[in-house]
Amino acid sequence: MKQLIQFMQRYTLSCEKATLLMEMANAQQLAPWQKLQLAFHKGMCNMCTDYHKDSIRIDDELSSLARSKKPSQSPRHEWTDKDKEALIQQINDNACDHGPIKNHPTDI
Amino acid sequence: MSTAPSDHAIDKVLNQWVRDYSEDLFHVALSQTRQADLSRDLVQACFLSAYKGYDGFRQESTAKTWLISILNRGILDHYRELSRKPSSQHMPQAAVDKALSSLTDMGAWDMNAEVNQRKTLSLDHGHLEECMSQLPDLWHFAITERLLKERKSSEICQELGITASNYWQIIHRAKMALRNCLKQQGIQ
Repeated sequence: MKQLIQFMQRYTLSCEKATLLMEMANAQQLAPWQKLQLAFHKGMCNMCTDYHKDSIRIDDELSSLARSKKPSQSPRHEWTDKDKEALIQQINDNACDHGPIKNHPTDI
Repeated sequence: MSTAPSDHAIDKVLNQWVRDYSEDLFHVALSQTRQADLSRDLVQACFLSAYKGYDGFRQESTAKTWLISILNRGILDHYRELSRKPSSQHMPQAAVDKALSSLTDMGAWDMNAEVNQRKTLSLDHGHLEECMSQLPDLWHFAITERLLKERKSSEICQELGITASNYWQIIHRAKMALRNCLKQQGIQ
């Protein structure tokens, strides 16, 4: 019994660790013993099996999203002629002495 | 015998490049960073680097390609800097808690968590983009590079200067957060 507990402690994974290994498995980054651990865990845990299916579907959909995305679907922010002229002015003012270009505060 | 262009001539070329390419560069930066002001800074820095490095432009590629490569280096520097900051900044506790809300403290599925009661996962592209937009910056970048640009994890780790274990932890948290979000969207 003690040996069984030791075996379980050594080779069984928590669901958190198992789901982490699933992400690595999706990218074929698992060592053979990790594959075994994961297969053993999935054999016992339906919730993790569901997670793995969902995870693969999300990966597939994100890849499909990237393929279907058109350049025209640009974000709502615009780069205006005013931005261009301000940048030209900054280059003319600052680039000659190679000084730093004044930064805008970043978005939060 | 050819001579190096004068500063005035370089200014003139750069000014024209700003008119021709800065808008496209801005949208490249914006699509990766999702932040308008940061994208403006990156475009500005890109043109300053182009000015300083103009002598290195061999015209083997187009000016736009050269500028995009400078911009991409700037974007990568931004994320590399972010990944070097304390983990509280690239692993914000609120986002981690939200991502792992479907698990107990012991790392098992929480049968009481509302999200675990929901079977439906909405994979509508609008919902996917909405859920992606809620991810912290570095998580969003890691997922985008791996799944949308299909880049190898080893390359991303090397470019960001992070360990593989750190990288997979980021991907894991991001995917957990995405799945929870898509399950929430599934019933709306």
